[in-house]
Amino acid sequence: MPEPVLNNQIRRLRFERAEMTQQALAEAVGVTRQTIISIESGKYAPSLPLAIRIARVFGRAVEEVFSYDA
Amino acid sequence: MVAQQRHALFRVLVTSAALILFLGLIPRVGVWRAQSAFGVLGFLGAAPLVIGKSRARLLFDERDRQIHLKAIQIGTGIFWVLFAAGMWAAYWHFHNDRVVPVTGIALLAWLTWTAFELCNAGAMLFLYRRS
Repeated sequence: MPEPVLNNQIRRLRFERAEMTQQALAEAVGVTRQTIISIESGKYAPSLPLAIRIARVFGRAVEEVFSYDA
Repeated sequence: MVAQQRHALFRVLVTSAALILFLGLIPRVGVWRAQSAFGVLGFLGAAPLVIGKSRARLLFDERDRQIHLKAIQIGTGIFWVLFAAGMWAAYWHFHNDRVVPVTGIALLAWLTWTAFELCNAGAMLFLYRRS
């Protein structure tokens, strides 16, 4: 049975917002740049509060930023 | 490299140096006197100098906390296995009709602490590399 995957659109949304840097996004949501890198590459699943903060930075719903393929 | 990662690397280097020095001193001064090599572990107290000042305002976030907890689980698990193995080894070596020397207990304490530090810090570095 394939393992469920958490995908995200963070990189695309960053570029759409005047090419926001990973550092700028990290400071906006209160994590390190390395955490943003891990989230974008799908190697780290953010906590719910962090996922909501990220979605709010882009002015989108959480489901528009993250998708879960079971 | 984040602060916790630098700290873990420092811990691995210091602990490895202590262990290598201990093993190198055994043929020269014997097992009991070679335990003085574990005094090198005192350099672990210099960790704040290694972490140093960072330009980043945030040093420790939720991902660091998760890695820290996973590394504690791994390090503690391996520590208990080695501790139990050490107890059995001490029993088989000394049997139940001889006295266990205090220096043997001290050696066990040093080795299990060293094992925990190496496993905990090593696990932390591995988890950071994987993520």
